[in-house]
Amino acid sequence: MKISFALGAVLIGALFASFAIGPANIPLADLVTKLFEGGTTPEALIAREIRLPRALLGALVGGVLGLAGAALQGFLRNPLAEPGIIGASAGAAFGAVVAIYFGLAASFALALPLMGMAGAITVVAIIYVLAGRDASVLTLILAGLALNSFAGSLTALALNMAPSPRAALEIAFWLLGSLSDRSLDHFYLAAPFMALGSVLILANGRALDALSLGERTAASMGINMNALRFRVVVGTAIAVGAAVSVSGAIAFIGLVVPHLIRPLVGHRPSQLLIASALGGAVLLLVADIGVRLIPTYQELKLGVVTGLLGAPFFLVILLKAGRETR
Amino acid sequence: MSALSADNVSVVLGPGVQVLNSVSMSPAAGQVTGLIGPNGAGKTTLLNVMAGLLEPKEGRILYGGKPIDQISRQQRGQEIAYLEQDTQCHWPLTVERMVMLGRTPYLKPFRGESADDHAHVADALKRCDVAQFSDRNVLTLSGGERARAMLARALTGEPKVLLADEPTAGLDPYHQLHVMELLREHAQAGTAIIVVLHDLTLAARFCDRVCVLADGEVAADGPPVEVFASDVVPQVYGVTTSTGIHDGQTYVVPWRRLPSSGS
Repeated sequence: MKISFALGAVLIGALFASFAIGPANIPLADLVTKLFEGGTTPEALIAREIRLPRALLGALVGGVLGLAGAALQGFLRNPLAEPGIIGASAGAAFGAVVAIYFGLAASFALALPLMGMAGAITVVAIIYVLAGRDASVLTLILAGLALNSFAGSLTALALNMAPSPRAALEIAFWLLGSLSDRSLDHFYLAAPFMALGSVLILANGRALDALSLGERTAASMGINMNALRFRVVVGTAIAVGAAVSVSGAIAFIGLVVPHLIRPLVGHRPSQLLIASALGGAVLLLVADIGVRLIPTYQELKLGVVTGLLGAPFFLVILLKAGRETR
Repeated sequence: MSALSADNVSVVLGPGVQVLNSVSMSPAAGQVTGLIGPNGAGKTTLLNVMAGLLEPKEGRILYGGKPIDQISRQQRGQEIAYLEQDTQCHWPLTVERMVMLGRTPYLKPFRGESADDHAHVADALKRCDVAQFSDRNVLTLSGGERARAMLARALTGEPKVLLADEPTAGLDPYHQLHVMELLREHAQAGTAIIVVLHDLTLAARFCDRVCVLADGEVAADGPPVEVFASDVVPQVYGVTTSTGIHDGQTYVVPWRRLPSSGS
């Protein structure tokens, strides 16, 4: 509880920082007043069209990734699980790539996130049909893994067959993951899905706690395993699918954040959910601020930064945890 | 008679694999019923069916006179505890938190544990003699400590029926006796207990009734004295036994394998 309040306070700070920091050096107070005054001054446009969507989407996408990672790790009782494992991210990425490939994104900006979400939902529907209603956790993971690599291969095919090098570059860049040039429309489109998915996931705290003792014991304590599976898998697909649709694939947040937070909440899967969502939001906002501050010829992609920082960091956590438990 | 009974239950797992064939069983309230039989006899399957975790192909499980699938999950969770064989905790929770999971069927959504839940947990910790390490990480417990902690988890919901699958497996003699004493104590409080055992002496000494399962069928069912006096045990296990009396109680020791008949 305490940790969630602390993280919530940090998150508010990170939101303001993300709103305040950018290439155009405008004082925060000016940005806030211009945002509420509206109008078409450069300051108002920067506040409304650039900074605000970027900060809001950063918090939402990071939060969803942290939450889904925590829920999946609890559900699969495997600390290596991450939101991508059920195939929704790969499906969303492929859907988005289709939108770029056929030029839909160029004629209608929201075609990209819409196709992304369609891709995520398709993948999860296929998993459910393939794995069946009473699927074991293992069957679900394996089906997710298969579709994950299938969707990945289709994306690679689209790159392979790209009509022009420019299109290929556009696809490749989008896949790297970024929050730049997103509008409030992206936020309005994705936020309801992220909220719906998050509610589905958050309803599982008790069940995830009970699942610490295994599926049978959890079922014997009155947990409806089918309902739990549905809420976790579909909730993750909707929320993460929507997140990937607006941001592209952002690595390691869903894997690392639950690891970081877990010891702080006494390793309880239920307590990890909210704390991990807040932690994910903070971490992504910080990474996105970093992307803007690091001076490079071409803006660093957010997914590249989270991956570059996340992987070594994750190794350190693993080595440390390994020493503690052995 | 207790509230829970299996009525001519048959279970088929996969094509042609009949695990249980028309098994009937009704553990009495206030008694410890031992469920014994060779490996693969269907003991764990029977417990799963009786806990409502597995649907029988034929026959039914009745609880309080009603088919078990007509009883809410929550009520089942509160009244029928299932202690899985060798339960592992997947996260390094403290013993107290792990035992609190036994209160899951009583907790209201999105609300914390009540003072009542904490009182039940404290009581179960004390009765199972694990209170002294309630703050320890469950993953660091020894086998005997973990077995008692898991038992505390199962008992903290004050179940009317306890289905315990080999709670003494892997324990040293001291802790085996300890767990059996705890089960007896709990039965005296009115709980109907079914316990799967491989140690024939523990079954003879601590159970009010022994049910022998072999090849998915009930081979014998009655007071331990009668069951162990008959030749059912040598037959189903394929071993000779040495039986005696110590301190007025029967002990049964498997002695030698019988020459296998054919095949």
